Amino acid sequence: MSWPADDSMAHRALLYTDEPEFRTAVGAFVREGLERREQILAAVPAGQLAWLRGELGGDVPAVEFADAARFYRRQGQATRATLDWLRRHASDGQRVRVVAEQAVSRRTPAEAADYLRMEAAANVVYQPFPVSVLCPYDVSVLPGDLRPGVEQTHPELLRGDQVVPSPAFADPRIFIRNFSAVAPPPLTSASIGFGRREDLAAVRRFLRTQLARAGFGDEAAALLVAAAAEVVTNALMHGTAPRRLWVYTEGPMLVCHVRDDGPGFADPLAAYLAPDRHATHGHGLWLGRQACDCLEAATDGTGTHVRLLTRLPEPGAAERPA
Amino acid sequence: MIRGALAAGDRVIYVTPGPSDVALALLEAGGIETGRPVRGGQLLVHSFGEIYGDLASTDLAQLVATFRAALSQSLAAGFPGLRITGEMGGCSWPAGSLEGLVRWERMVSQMLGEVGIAAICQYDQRQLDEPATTVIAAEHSGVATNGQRLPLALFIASTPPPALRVEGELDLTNGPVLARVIRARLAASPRLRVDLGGVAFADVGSLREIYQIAVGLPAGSRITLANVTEPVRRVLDLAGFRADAVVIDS
Repeated sequence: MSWPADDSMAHRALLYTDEPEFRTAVGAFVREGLERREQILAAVPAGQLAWLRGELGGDVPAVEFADAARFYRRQGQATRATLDWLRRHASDGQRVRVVAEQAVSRRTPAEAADYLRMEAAANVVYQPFPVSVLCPYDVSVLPGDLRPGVEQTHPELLRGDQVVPSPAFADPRIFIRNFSAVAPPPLTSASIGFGRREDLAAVRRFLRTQLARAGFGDEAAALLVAAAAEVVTNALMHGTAPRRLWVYTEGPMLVCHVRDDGPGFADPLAAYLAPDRHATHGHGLWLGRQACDCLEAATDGTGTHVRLLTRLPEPGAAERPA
Repeated sequence: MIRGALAAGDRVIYVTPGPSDVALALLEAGGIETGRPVRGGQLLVHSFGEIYGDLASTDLAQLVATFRAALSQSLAAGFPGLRITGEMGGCSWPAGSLEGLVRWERMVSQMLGEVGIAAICQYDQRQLDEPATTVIAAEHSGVATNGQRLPLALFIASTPPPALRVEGELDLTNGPVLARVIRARLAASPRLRVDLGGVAFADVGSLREIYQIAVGLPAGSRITLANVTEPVRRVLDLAGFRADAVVIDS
């Protein structure tokens, strides 16, 4: 098995079932990188971090270890943290490696789906960098319905020491569009309609009231208001009437759900791409993705729906660091 | 109208038939903060005679020159626009009769419009009978009434050095106003300090206006954002704006 040495991006999934399999494959990947003097970022769950450290005989200066529970706490921030790391280490053509694993089985279905959409987007987002990305998935705990998604979002799969093209690999934009379903808002949830710029102040007041009711402290609420306000503003500028915002809970998550009658984003990757320096749009969705735990956008016969999901504060917890 | 003009960052020349401190006290009583706008040169109070001279012998060309000078001074001082407003004398109309007043106003308004100044004349309704009110209202294309919505944010000029303080919330409704005010004040001062200490909420679009302006600034020019509140700081950070000409003063 070998990874590219030129300036191309490689993105491979490793479907493993136990510790020895993980240690052999990920250990070989990291050691090859060390031999080639490449910087390595390993963002994996705490258990896998320990396996990798054990395999390497402890900490290694060229390897940056990150606990996935923190790194992926917010899917959008993980993208940004990875981009920042790539800009620091790979911007002058220097090849680098990333090991990326999230404990998908411990995430809510919405977060797991968002992670797979992010895996699809990664093929485009990290394309400009000479980076080799290895994404281990523990299939002993991976929900069965997610496995096809893993194969559709990685151009190549690692089987033992064999690299095989993933026959199911799908165009990232098509995957994201197909992997986004509309979830209708519960009939009884609180909501507010909006149609004019002058309604924005009332929408923010509604959000503040609902977030305080759900137990969010001022700081966390202010960030969510900012994120939801961007989605509302987008619906106002690009969507069509009627437009409405709902706020409700779904399991452990609070949902801000915006609907309009328009056709939705022209580019399904819109919410996944960082705006460039001179961008005149795109900052709002980028903020929306990072300020909440996951973002869903889907269009069907009932309109365009964007949902921002954020974990509810622990009962009794004071201000939650975001 | 005065509150709206000040909120929009424009300079206001307030013309009063009486002493200026009485006019300011009346404005304060009407709920308009005058202290900072007066100190920052945004609100100027002049007597009727200073501006319009003796109406009986008004030289229109002279008046045009006066207003043109006032407008260019105002733009040079970093205000995007100039509005002139004032109390008309009531019982003793300066032009002697209702017809004379209307004729005079029509002339002045047209002239101001050509120069690019917005003007509004205030009449005390208690001193006018109904037909007179109708005649006067018909002469004024946008009649401002009390009970207008409070602006979402105020843009307060301060000087020296030329700066801008913003208070309130910024969104689609007033982001373009912010851009207009910042551009005007940058013309007067290439290094502009924008005090956001009073801004509890700012959407990405209005902050982008600032960054877009900064990206186009010539070398040596820059915008300093001061007293940025925590919610606005988070939005700036997460939205991913970058411009070398914006400094965040912490």
